[in-house]
Amino acid sequence: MVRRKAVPVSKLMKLYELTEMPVWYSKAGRLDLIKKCYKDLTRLVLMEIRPYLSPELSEEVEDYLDHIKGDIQLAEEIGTKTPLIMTLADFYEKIILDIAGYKKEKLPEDVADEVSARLEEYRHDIVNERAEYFPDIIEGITYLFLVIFNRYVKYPHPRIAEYALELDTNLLVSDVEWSAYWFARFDTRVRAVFLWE
Amino acid sequence: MPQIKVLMSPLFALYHGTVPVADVIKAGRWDLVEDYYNDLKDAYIHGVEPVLPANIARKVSRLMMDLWSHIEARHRMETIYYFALIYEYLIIKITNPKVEELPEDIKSKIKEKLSLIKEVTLRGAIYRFEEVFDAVYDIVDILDMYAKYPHVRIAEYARKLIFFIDEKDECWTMYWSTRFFVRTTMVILGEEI
Repeated sequence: MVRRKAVPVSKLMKLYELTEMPVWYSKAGRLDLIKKCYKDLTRLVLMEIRPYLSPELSEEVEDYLDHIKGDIQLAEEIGTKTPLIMTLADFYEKIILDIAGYKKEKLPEDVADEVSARLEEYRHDIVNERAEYFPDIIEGITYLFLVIFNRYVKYPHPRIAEYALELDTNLLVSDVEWSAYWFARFDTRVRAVFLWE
Repeated sequence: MPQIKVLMSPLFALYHGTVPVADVIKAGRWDLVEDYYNDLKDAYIHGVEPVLPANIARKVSRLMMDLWSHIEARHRMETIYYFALIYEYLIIKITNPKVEELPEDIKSKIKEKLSLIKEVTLRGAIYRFEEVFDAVYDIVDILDMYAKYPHVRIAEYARKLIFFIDEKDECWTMYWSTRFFVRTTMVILGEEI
C-alpha cells in the first residue's frame, strides 16, 4: 500500500469523534450508538486512514478492531465498559503518534522499569474501576512529573502534561469513564515516548 | 529556532492554570479566575519565562497584562480568549511545529474565515454560531486540499469547537475557537498573533 503525504484534517476529526464519543454514549447507556460508532470507525480506519499509516501499525489495525469488537461484546454481556473506552483511546493515540511522529527519549533502564510497573498498576486499578485507589494514582502521577520526568526528560512534551491534568481532574471526581479514557491516552503516549513501546 | 527546554511540571502547571477558565467563568466565580491567573503567572514566571528568548518573553508579558486588565473589567469572553491564547502561543513556541507554505490567495481565504470565527465568538453571539460552524468546515476543507503536514491538534480543536457549538456553550466555544484560531494562524498561515 502506498503511504501518502498527509492525512486530511477532516478524517482526523472523524477519527477523534468516533473514538471519544463512546465515552458519552457509555455514560448514557447507549450501546446501540456505540455499535454504530464501531461500524463507522471500521470503515474509516480501513478505507481512509490505513493508507497513511506505517506498515507496522497498518498490520495491527485489524487486531485493534477485533479487540474493540470483543470489548463491545463484553459491555453487552456483563456491562463493563471501561475496557472498551480504554481500547478506543489506546487505538486513537497509537494512530496519531504514528501519523504525527514524536521525539523519543531514553530513560535509564531501572527508571523505565519503575515507570512501566506504575503504569501497569494504575491501568489495572482503573480498568477494574477501583475508585478507592484513585487518590493514590493522583499522587503517583505527581511523583512521575516531579521526580522522574523533571529529572530525566530532555524535551518538552505538552501533550503528556495535558493528558495527565485531564486524568487528575477526572480521578479527583471519581469519574470512572473519563479517567479510563485519559489514562489510556496518557499511558500509550508515555510508553511510546519514554519506554519505546 | 533553538529548542526551548521546559521541564514537564511547569507544562502541567501552565495547562492547570488555563484550562479550567471556561467552567469557572460559566459559574461566575471571578475569585477563582483570579486564582487561576495567579497560578498561570507563577507557573510561567518560575518554569517557562527563564528559558524563553527575550522577544517571546516580552510578548507573553504584554499578553499577561492584557489578560489581567480584562479580568479586572470582568470581560467574560476576552478573559477566556487571553487564557487560551497565552497557553496555545506558548506551546507552539516551545514545540516549534512545522509551518505550512500555502499560496497567498488560499491564505487570505483562511484569514477571512478566522476573523469571522474570532469576531462571532468574542461577542458570544450564539445566534451566529452556525456561521462559525461553516467557517470551521471551510477551513478544514481547504486544509484537506492543500496541507502538506498532518495537523492532528487542529483536527482535535476543530472537533471540540464543533461539539461546543452544537451544545450552544458560548464559554467553551470561546476557549476552543481561540486555540483553533491561534494554531491555524501560526502553523497554517505562518503568522504571529
